[in-house]
Amino acid sequence: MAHGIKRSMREALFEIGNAVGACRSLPPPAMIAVIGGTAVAFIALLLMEGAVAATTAAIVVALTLLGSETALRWRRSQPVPADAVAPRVASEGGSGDADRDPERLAGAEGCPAWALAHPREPGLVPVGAAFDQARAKLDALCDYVQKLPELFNIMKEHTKNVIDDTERASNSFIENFNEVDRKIKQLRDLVLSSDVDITRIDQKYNDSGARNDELLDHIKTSFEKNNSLIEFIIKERVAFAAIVETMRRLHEELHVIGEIAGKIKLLALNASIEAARASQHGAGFAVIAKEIRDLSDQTHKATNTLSPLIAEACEAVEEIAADQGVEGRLREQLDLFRSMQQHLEALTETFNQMLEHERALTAHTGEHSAGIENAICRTLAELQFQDIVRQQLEGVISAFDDLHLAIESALPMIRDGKEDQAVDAGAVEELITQMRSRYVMAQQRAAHARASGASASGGTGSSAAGSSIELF
Amino acid sequence: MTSILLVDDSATILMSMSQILGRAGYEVSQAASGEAAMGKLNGGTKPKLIITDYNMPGMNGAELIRQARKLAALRFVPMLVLTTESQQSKRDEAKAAGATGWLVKPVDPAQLLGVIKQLIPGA
Repeated sequence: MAHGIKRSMREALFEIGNAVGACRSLPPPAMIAVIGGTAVAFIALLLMEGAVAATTAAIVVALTLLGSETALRWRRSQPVPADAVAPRVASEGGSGDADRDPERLAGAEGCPAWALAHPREPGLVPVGAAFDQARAKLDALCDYVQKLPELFNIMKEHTKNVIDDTERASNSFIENFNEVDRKIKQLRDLVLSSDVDITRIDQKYNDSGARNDELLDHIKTSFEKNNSLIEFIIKERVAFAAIVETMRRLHEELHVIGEIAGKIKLLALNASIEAARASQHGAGFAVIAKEIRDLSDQTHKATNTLSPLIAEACEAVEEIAADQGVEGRLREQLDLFRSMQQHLEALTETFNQMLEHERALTAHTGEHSAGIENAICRTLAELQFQDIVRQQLEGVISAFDDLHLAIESALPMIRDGKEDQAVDAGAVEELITQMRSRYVMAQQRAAHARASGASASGGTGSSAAGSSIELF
Repeated sequence: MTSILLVDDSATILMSMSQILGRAGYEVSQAASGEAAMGKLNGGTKPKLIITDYNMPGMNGAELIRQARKLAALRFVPMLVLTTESQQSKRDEAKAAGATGWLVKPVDPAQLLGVIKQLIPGA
C-alpha cells in the first residue's frame, strides 16, 4: 500500500512540476499557490515519516493539483497563435518515442524548457504537448461527431424503409388474404348451394323413391304374374296336349261317323228300293228311307266339313302346345325384372350414402366456415402491429432528429472551447425528456424505463392503467 | 345497413379494420385524416358510428370529435377513439371533446364488435 501511495505521489509531483512549468504566465495568486504547495509537499516528504507524511503530502498535493488545474484552465482559455502550436501527436497513448522527441515538443507555447528536458515517466506528457494532443483529439472527435448526423440520416432512411416495407407488406397481405377469403367463400357457397341442390334432389328422390317403390312393387307383381303365367303355360301345355288328343280322336270319330253315314245312306237306298217293291204298303217306309238317306247325306256333308276344320284346329293347338319360345321369353323377362330390381335397390342404397356424405360435408363446412371467419378476423386484427411498429419507429426517427439538432448546436461551441456549455448535463437530460414526451405507447415508456432505469410512469404524463377498452 | 366512418392515417389499419367491420355486416367509409373525415361529414355523410385514431398528422382524433360534435346530425352519434396512445391526459382530452370510448391498439375484433353492438343497439 505504501508503495502505491509513494507511486501516486511521485506521479502527482510530476504533474506539479508540469504545473509549475506552466506557471510562467499564471496570475500571481495561482503561481504562489502552486509553488507554495509544491514546496510544502517536498518538505513534508523530507521531514516526516510513514503515514503522517503520506497524509500531509496527499492533502498538500490535492491543494496543489487544484491550483495547477486552475492554472491549466486559465492557460487553455488564452488564445494560442497558430505558429505556436506544436505538431499534432498522432499516437493515441502519448507514450511513444514521438512524445519524447524534444524537437516535436519544442515550440509549444507555454511549454517550459524544464518540462521539455525533464525525463518523464511513460504515459506522462508535458503540458504544452498534452494541450496540443488534447486539442487534436478534440478536433478529431468533433470531426467524428460532425459526421454522425450523416449516419443518422442513413439510419432514418432505413427506418423509413422498414415502415414503408411493413406497411406495403401488410397491405399486400390483406389483399392476398382477401383473395384467399373470396375463394374460401366461393367454395363454401358452392358447398352450401350443393346442399340446397342435394335437398332438392333428396326431395325429388323421395318423390321418385315412392315411384321407385311402386315400380319395384310392379316388378315384383309382374314377376309373380310371370311366374304364374309360366306355371299357367306349363299347365296349359298339358291341357293343349289333351285337347289335341281329344281332337284327334274326334277327327277319327268323325271319319267313322262319315263311314257310318255312307253305310246308312246305302241302307236307306236299299230300303227305298224295297219300299217301291212293296208298292202301296211300302209308301210310308219309302218316306222314312228317304228321310234317312237325306240325314245320311247331311251327316256326310257335316263330317266332310268338320273333318278339315278339326284337323286344322288340331294342328293349330299342336303348334301352340309345341311352342317353347314363349316360356323362354317369359323367363328372360323375369331375369330382367330381377336384375332391374337389384339395380334399383343398389342405386337407392348408393344415393342414400351419397346424401349422408353430402349432409356431413355441409355440416362440416358450416362449422369450419365460422371458424375460418373468426381466424380471418383475428389475423386481420393482428395487422394492427404494423401501426404500432410504425409509430415506434417514427419515435426513433424523431430521436435521431433530436440528436442531430443537439450535435449541430453543440459542435460549434465545442470547437470554440465552450465545451462546458455544449456538454451541459442538463441539455442531455432535456434531450431525454423531449424524447420521452413523444412516446404514445405504454411499451415505449416501458422500454425507455428499462433502458434508463427510470420509472415508466414518470415524465410528461402517466400511462393509463387497466383495460384497453374504456367507455366513457 | 349500419354505416361506420373509420378515420386513421395508417392504410393498414383502414384496410384491416374495414375488413373486420365489413364482415360483421357494417358499411364502412374511410378517411385517411381528420380533415378528410370532416370533409365527408360536412358533405352530408351521416354515419351511425365514428371510429378515429388519435395521433394523426394535422387534425388529431380529439379535435375531429370536437368539430364533429358541432354538427347537429352527429350530436348523439357515438364516437370511439382507436389508438396506440395510452396517456391518461390524452384520454381525458378525448373524453372532454365528446368521445364515447377509448380503445387501445391492438384491439381484439370480438371485443370491438361487442362494443359497437353495445353502442348501436339493433345494428
